[in-house]
Amino acid sequence: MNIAVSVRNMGRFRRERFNPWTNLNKMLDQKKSKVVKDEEQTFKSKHLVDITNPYQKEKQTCILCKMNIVPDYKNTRLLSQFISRFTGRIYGRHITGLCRHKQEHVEKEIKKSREAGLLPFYFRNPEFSHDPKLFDPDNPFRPHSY
Amino acid sequence: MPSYEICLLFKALPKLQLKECLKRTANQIFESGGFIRRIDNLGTQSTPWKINSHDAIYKQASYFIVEFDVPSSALVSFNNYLSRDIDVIKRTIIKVPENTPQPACTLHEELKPPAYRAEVKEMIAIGKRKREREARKKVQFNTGLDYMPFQR
Repeated sequence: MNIAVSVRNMGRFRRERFNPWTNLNKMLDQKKSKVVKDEEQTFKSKHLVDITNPYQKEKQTCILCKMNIVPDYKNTRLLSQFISRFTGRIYGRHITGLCRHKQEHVEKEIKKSREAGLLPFYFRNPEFSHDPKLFDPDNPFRPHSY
Repeated sequence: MPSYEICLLFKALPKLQLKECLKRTANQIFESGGFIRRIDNLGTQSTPWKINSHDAIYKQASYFIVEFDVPSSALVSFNNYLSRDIDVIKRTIIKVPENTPQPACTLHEELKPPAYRAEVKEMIAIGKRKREREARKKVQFNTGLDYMPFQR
């Protein structure tokens, strides 16, 4: 009989017992990995699923941010969409549905273009009265006290 | 030299005279040590209101937009020159905005109910701090009694 064969036999019969010839650390590592695998299995169960909130609303963006438009005082056609047809007043943020920065920018550009003599103060240019409406002044995005 | 943009309203003149007017203003820019980047002709339109300038009322004007670079010290004299030009009805000098990236849209945060908005949270914190400060100012009689012995 060969010695090597007897060693192999030993391994076969005493698999679960502590064997001083095997590397202890290696065995421990194997045990750890087994535990981790078990944990993974419990995690994969269909009752404990870690997914993102399915009821979370889609992130809203204002129309100028969505289209990546920078308002300019020369673009009177765009700016006149944000002023009243009858009084020439600038609609508020609760009506236009713009984000804070864009609303401020639009207001600034409207004032600039009025100063330059491109846009009227008290009405909207009748040429633009049939332009598509970006919002409905009668149904504001947000409630307002007045 | 910073970039400027000027919106010029000339009188509604025939083409040759208009050319002369533009030449005059362009020469004025060159004399003050600047240069022109762009000239846009927006055409002859009716003005949004009756513009009164140089003792006359104008309802029509030819619109020009000139983008130019000029030392900022020469801007006042240039504006003064234009104010004396009879053919110029109205002029507005505006600094060309720098090409800065636009900030991200904050509409989603603004549409949240007030209790979830950052600015409202900050407001509540300020109020709370104020109340705490006022409570600290109030005198506390540490007598250990749960009644006021001299106020009956």
